[in-house]
Amino acid sequence: MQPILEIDGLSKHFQLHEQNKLIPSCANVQLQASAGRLTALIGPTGAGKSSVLKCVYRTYLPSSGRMLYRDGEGHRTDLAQASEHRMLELRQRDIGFVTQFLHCLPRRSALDVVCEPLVAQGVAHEASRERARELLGLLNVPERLWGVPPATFSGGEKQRINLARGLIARPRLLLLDEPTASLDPSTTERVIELINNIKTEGVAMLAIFHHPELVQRLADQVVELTLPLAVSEILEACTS
Amino acid sequence: MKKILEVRGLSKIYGRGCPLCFDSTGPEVDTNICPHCGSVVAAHNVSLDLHEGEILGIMGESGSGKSTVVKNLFFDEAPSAGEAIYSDGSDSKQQWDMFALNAARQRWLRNHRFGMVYQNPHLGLNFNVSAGGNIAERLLMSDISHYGEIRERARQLLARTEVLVDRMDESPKKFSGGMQQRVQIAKALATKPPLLYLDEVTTGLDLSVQARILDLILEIQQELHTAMIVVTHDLGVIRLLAGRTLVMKYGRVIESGLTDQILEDPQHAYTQRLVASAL
Repeated sequence: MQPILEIDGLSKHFQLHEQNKLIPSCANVQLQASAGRLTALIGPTGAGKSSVLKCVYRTYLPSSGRMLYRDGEGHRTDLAQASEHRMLELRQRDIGFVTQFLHCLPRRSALDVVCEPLVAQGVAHEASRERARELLGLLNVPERLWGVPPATFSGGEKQRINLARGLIARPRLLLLDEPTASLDPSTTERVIELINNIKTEGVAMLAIFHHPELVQRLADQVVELTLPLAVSEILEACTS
Repeated sequence: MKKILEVRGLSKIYGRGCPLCFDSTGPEVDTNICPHCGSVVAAHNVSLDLHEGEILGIMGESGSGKSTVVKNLFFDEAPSAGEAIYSDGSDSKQQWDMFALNAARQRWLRNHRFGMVYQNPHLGLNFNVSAGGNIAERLLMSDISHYGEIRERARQLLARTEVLVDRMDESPKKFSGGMQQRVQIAKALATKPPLLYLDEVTTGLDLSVQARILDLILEIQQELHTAMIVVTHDLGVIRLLAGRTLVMKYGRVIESGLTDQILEDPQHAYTQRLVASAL
């Protein structure tokens, strides 16, 4: 089976003009993600695991490398080069991202926040709300919170809202950045169950987990990142 | 997604201009005033694409040229150079080469296809007529002339933008700043334009009023699928509204990208400083 995402030689560094510094992040990453399989990214803090996910979603502009994405019609797009409009289209239809922290429109109820991706795809409001209620229930979010904006929620509650929003649209490729970091054990079990469910539905996942145990239980493939090269070596590589 | 607007090489010079203007101004030389002839290069070589139902942000400090761009696109001013093609949503084969049209055709396009909300309500509203009258003016310009129908539409629009309908016969002069902006939005939306320009619409309003106006803009965008160009110096407004963003300085677009990328991984030194200065 052909992978949905093939990353080849991906590197990211940040050039901070004001401080005149080059901050290295991930370097020379190779990995693949396939339908119905979960690829876990592991490595020490600072190895650039989150940067890889953000590059795929194009929240970060990759410094070098290729990220070939194959869509449902078999078209291949290098996400590193894709136009902004193409990226917006893929974000809406194909690629979901459960970030480490919840970023959402303020003053919207938790239920509407979770619905957003479905509504953006054109699903009717009531149908998307129905699905959102189902997911919030599965994730143990107390019903009294559904109508309230998540701004005042606890870390764990926000994370579950974030997860529900990421799972609701059944993307083809789902990026998960420590989705269980602040969850209690029973909710974590629910999340594992949900991840396994969408895996059987054929969603490809690229994930970072806080606990090694979760990697063991969920990953079909593990990619280890190492700490980035020293800045001087990057500069050398750039000039040579 | 269909392209609704395509702008190429838009430039605007205030003053007589000289052949050295463009080379002698811009972010590299830290000015937009030409040292040779004293002209102000408000915008130079601005290009952008806008798709149906999309919100594009233009971000920059005062004097960066961001308002100049929308003023040119709304025909408030004529550009010194450049091209803009507007394609109609219902039949994208219908295209207007905007700056090549005569004044009457430009007025038609402006009244039937575009809407504008200015920072200063005095520019967008006629303070000598009532709030309802302001909306009626716009409807009349777009060929709706039945009195009862106009009055009913005005009532609906003001209700939609949360202006007290009981006050529709008062002059907007007597309204608060936030209410005046709501009347402006109602007026701009009266003809359900496919393209709306918003120029610093929340600047100078109370935070709570800002929030409600931004929510209203988002709701309307989702309801009517209106394409918008949002000009602002406020990163919060950009974050909330825009999917893609252009950053301008001294009349030039120095960076453009997906809004989350501009805010989290800005490339240009100026954008990095701007993002780092956010409160």
